[in-house]
Amino acid sequence: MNSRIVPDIVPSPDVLTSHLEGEAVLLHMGTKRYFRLNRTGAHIWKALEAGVKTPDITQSLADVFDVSRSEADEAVSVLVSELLENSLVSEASSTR
Amino acid sequence: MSGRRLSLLSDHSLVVEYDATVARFVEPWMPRHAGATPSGANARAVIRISSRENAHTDDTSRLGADVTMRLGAATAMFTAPDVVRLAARWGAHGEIHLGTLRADIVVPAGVSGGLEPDQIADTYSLLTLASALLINRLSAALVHAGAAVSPAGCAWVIAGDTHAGKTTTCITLVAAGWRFLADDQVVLRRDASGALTVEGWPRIAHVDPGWSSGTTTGARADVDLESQWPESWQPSAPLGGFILPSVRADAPTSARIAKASDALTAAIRQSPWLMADRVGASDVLALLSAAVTHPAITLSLGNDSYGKASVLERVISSAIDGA
Repeated sequence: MNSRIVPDIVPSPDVLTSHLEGEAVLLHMGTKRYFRLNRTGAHIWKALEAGVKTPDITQSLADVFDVSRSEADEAVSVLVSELLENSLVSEASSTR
Repeated sequence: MSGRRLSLLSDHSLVVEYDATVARFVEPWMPRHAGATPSGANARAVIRISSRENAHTDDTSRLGADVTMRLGAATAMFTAPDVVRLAARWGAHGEIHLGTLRADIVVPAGVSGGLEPDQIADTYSLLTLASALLINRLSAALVHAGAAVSPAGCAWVIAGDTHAGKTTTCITLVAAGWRFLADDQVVLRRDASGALTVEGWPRIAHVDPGWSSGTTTGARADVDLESQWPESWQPSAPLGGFILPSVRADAPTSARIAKASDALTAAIRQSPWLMADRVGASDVLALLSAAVTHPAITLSLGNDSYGKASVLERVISSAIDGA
């Protein structure tokens, strides 16, 4: 199975985060908007904060939430797109 | 400045200074019970209001698209990380120096007769912005919320958007025997021991005049909560949790346990100044995040509890007991 091409990304320095009971709330100090992440989103975000690369995040998501690798891949891909769209992250490199 | 020097917080860390010439601008905003600041008090932050002839005429439109935030028709713009410029529609303006915790608000001199509603509203907004941004830097949070104190002595912050039922919930609980801190603005902070505490900034409440008879008129009337329930106000109480109301008139009143993230996003929505100040935001977010580790309940307000204190109190107390 081919993995999606997901860029390695890093959290924007404009973002403040609160982790709560497995979920997360993000504040973007530049756009003045806030966002909620559910448990899977918060898991991905926490990994990004720790500098984990997206392939490893996908594997971690599959392990922790007991989902298939392709489902995890899809979840990471969708969230990364949304994070990029809202300037919550920036690309650390182009693609892998 | 000779004149009045009143404390907005119980430890006197935030004070307002003004004289008689501007009292009519300031006093509609001043929380009731704001007491004289004792000499020698550690007033870390000061808001000074004065009047000036030919106050410059910057207004909302001239601040343009660069405003950091708006509150009503008043605007705040960070011109440096620690400097905020304030403006309103009719020449009132100000500047906040967050590094030194000083705010100066200037209203035009020579305004005679009664104030226009715009003048009262804009002064109210300017004072709210100044106090909120200064409070952020005191590692506390001004929250657009009510708060009522349960029989157990804990403050439940009632947070929701306009028309969510904050005031109705607050006064209904007071009618049921709870005590109240405020119906519209509260300060969340840590006390000297580090415990989370809620201080109220009570003012005249605006309530549907049909509330006491269980009818809805769609209008808002001024209600002096203290006259109606003398002895029911108290200045502060330890944080008990959050009540997140919304109105669903045609459904039975109900309450359920909310997630901490529900409470946090509600608190953030009702503290819009949090995201204006990059320097102070981290501390305030940490404070709010700690606060929402306390229980929270979402409250759906139906007509069955409108003006019926025992019904609402029973629903809320049952939810709190399960939280």
